[in-house]
Amino acid sequence: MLREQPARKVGAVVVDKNWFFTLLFVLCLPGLIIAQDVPQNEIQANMSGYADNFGVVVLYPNFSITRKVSDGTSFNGRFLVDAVSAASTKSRFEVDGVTSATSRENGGADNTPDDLRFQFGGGVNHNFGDRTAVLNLLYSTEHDYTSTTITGNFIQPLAQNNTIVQVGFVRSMDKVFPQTRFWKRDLNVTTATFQITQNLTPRTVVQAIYSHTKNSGHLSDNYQVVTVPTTTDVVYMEPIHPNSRIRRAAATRLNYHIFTRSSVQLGYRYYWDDWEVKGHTISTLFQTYIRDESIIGVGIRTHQQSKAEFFKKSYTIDDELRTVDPKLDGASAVDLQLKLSFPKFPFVKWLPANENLKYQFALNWYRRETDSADWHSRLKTLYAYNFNFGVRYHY
Amino acid sequence: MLKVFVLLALAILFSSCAAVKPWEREKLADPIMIFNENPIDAGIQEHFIEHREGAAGATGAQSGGCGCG
Repeated sequence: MLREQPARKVGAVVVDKNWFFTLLFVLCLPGLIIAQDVPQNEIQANMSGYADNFGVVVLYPNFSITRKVSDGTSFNGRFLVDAVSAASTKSRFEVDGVTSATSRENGGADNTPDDLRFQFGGGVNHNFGDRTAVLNLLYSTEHDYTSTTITGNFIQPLAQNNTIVQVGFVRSMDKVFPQTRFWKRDLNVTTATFQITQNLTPRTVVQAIYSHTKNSGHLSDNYQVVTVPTTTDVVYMEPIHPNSRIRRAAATRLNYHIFTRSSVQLGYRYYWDDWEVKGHTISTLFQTYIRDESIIGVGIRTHQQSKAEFFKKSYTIDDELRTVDPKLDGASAVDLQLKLSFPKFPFVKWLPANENLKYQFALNWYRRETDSADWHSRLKTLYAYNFNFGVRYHY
Repeated sequence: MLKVFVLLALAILFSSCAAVKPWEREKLADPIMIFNENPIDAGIQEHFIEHREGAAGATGAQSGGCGCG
């Protein structure tokens, strides 16, 4: 899909040539290469949840297993269920077969899960000599749509393992199956990623990432309702977004080991797309060992973005493009994170504890303020809580 | 912005000339020094953020499975 774009308009295609020659150069560096380890045997089970002041609640238990079958090969499998009450937002339209949470029956507006999403995944990591290739497949299904995602990564260590170059590709294909309406509203997402991780000093590691994404197909959320005032009345209309979007992001991160057993991570990301959304994201995370192998992490992330060019506070019936999606409005957000990882559960003696077991807990508090009030809740400020509790077992 | 990124990437790449020796990597091998140490958790976080903000990508995490919005 990326190749269809004219080279002059899409910077990444031009840059792809640079990437190609840069990659060619670094891959030809002789004698500096050491093989990467593939993931070890692990079982992970998590219970995650999300709730916000817009009335959305999501619970998503998930389970994954990784099995190393030889020195250079490991397989993984994962399963996730989303129980979403997001569809309790009552739409004025017969929303049918869109790739977001939709009610199994018309209406909603209760506290029961309106939509269940099941996600299955599997993949393989394999070493080809000193290089590693990773292939993963994700399949996600709801009652009215399916999504298939294929991801591929190629990892090349260089300079005695001090440099890791990674090239990634993701292709996601969503298909909708309307039950009452007759429309074809599929969505395809293609992402190419380039990433370099470098050990700078015995205490410092840095990373640079660039991603280029093309979305094409049905990009509106038909649950949303655009209210258009007329001289005598108001008209309720469905949102109409462009059917393609080119999204780019460049980021850099640094992780520095301080004191005896602590680290500080700093990151910055710049985002821009052809809908004229531009964003700046700054993040920091402090992690330290509190005792034995127990780790506590405290992080803060801030994000600011400009609105999409077609986002307006009010529309007329003649507007070709319409949206009320808060993600496309000018906004600022802050995300506070607390995470804990510990081998032994404090105060609860009957839970198993050994060196291969790790309990993990994370809590995020998220606040987003948009320039305009949300189309449904009429609020400008979203408060959200996200939690995760799980165990990781190395066997 | 892209030019800045290319320069940064090249600067990082060429800094490998001053390589850290294997016996100096004890601290770098610590789990707290790994970006996205838990890829599954990072993917879930990414998924949550992607549905609340207009910006996405370049986080090193792999979300997916639902192309909402």
